[in-house]
Amino acid sequence: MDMNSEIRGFAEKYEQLRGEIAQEMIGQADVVEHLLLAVIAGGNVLLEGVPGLGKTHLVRVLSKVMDLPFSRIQFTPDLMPADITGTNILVRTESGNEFRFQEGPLFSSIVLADEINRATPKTQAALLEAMQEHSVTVAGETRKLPEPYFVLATQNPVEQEGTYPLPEAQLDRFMFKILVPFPSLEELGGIMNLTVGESGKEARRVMGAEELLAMRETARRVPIAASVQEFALKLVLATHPEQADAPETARKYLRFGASPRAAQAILSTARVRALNQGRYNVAFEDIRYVAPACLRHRLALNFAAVTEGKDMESIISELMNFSD
Amino acid sequence: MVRGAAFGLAAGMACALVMLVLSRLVMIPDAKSWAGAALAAAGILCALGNMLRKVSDRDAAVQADRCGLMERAATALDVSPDEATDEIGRAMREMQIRDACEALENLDPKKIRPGSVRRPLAAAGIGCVLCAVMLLIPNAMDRKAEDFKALQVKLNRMTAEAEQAAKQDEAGLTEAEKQALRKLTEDLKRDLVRSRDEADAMVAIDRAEKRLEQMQSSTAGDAQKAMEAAQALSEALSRAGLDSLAQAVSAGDEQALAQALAGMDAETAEALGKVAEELSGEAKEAAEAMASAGEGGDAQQEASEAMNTLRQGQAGGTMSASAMQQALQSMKAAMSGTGSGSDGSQSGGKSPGSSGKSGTSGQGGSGAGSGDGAGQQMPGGSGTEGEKSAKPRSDPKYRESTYETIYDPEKADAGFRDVMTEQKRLGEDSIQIQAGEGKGTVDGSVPYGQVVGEYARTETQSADSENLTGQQREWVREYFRLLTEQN
Repeated sequence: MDMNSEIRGFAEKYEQLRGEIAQEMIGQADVVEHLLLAVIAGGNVLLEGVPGLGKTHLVRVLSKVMDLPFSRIQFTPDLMPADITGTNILVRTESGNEFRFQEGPLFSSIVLADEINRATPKTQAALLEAMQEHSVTVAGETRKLPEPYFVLATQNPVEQEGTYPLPEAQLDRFMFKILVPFPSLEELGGIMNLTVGESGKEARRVMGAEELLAMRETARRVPIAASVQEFALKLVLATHPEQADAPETARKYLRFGASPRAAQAILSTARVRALNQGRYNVAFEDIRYVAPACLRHRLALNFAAVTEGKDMESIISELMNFSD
Repeated sequence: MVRGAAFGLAAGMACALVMLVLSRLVMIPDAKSWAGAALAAAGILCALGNMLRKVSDRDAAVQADRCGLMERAATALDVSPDEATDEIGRAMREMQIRDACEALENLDPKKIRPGSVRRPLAAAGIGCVLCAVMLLIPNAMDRKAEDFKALQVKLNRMTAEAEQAAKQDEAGLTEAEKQALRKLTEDLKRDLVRSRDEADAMVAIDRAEKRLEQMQSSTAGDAQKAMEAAQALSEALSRAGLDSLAQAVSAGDEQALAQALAGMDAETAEALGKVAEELSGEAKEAAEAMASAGEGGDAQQEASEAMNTLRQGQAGGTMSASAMQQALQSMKAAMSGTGSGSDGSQSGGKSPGSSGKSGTSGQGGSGAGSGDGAGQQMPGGSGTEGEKSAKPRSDPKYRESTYETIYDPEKADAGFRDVMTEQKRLGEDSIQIQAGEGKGTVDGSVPYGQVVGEYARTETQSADSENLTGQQREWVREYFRLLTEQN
């Protein structure tokens, strides 16, 4: 396939993915859109929503359409790092006993870390290397994880008792934090029809690992104008209240701002969005679309924001207007 | 162009606002017109400048992108296929450029919106509101500017009248007198042009009047000297027994003098020489000229020379500049008519030779002026009122500074000395006034018309602040109203 065809086929492929996921996921179009953007861009995603919204099901469907191995880890307070990374076990062989490494659930292309905030920090930290380096080190030996590799974590905004909030260092490794809203009346009806009524359709495979990696490489080549890139970088800088020219909103309501990973996340996911919109360049609109998901988990509200009832979305919106 | 107009409007409003603010601090005649002109000029210049400014490719691309091109044009300008590191990158850039070109080809230029005009329009709006506020708030300087303008018109008219009068007077003057009169007129004209208010103008007119008086006094003195010289010579000739010569000199008869000199003998010539030795000045010169005739000179010539010497001072006589005199008096009358109603502090502070004190000294001035006996000018207003009413201003001989003066220590020439005045005893009446350490000389007088307006204002203001009945205040106001009306 020549390059031009490959590039032109990106949008088609993307639409196919969305279409197939929609076979088993009713509504949540925005959530699916953001999830695909992050996955194609090669990032990890944190899904936050109340129980029963289909977060786990979404990840399963994703693995199905992308034909990627999927593993699910239900995080509990007693979960140990070795439980997820794997460990050496003693096996009896013909030549005697030997230690063999038993891979943990991390050794899968798509890892669903369910209720990640219920695990202890020690176990959460075990994910850090996997999420960033796509490798696991056990007993001094580093083992590469399969490519493509994603960690899709879920988090319950309620039932915070007995949970361990994710540290900023781990939060920063998630490309997106996607808020999963409660479905509307129509969507609920559709969900009922799909799940409780007659058996619904099933999603089919659209692509494999190689195609996904190819799409990622293609998306990385999307050119971006200097002014558009500057807008994204100014936006990240504007989140830092200690900066000399920081906007009033940042100074007043933020404790700290986003790291350079936020800028990387914005630009890489904006490139993917540009391609799936049928464009060969990144636009300001792409930056505005992906920025909230990239920033909401990387900024920290201060006491003034909490007492005044300011929410993160409005703050990010004001920062985008300032940077424009 | 729209953007240029928006910026022009904002710039124009800023200039107009600056002009209006300045007009509140500094007197600017026709400030509103200047503000309007600044608005128009800045607006047109900015709009033209923006129109003529070359639009860069980047700016054009940004404007085009705003029509739904989604940063296609701007990105196409930034990227180059040659900068790609691999095939996919090169292919991507080429496709992007092609995509941008197609989008631009399909773009309707009429849909291209101007750049953001929100900010300049907002700035222009704010400027407009501020200008409107500045226009609505009364400006004290406007009144001053109008007064100044009216004053300028009046002064220009006066200047023209003075020039006209000078031309009229030149007919009967000697060359030297003409030069002096022209110099006076030029100086008056210059001073009037520089005048900032009525007080300045009055000072200039008064100065010109005094100079004219000095010039007239000087020429009168010359004429007097010449007459005295002729008389002295005639008397000296009579004493020397040279009666025929004395008569000829006394009569000013040049022919008779020539005849008398023609028949002069040596003895007469010697007597003439002795007469010449007794005299000085023009008389001596004339006598010497006459004596020369007896020594072989031409009698006619010497007689003519002698008479010319005696006539030199008399020729011009007292310099007559009645037209200029009358013009100056008219100017003073015109200025006084408006000066009494003008700002008291200005007129009070600008009296000739004054130290620039404010009008609060009016009370002291008029109070200290009562009582007289030293043969000075009648100070105070009461004594001169009768004269005032008997001397209408239309009378060309009426000279305000002579007939109406008032002693005002605050406004007199600088000078410090103790003043004691003592009136003659008339029976039981005697007044001894000790002026103390005065602020001016005793004869420091100022024209009444210059200060009456200021006094009237001071007194009526004092009456308002004093614990008086309404009727009493009305009396005070009426009194000064009549006083100033007569001026």
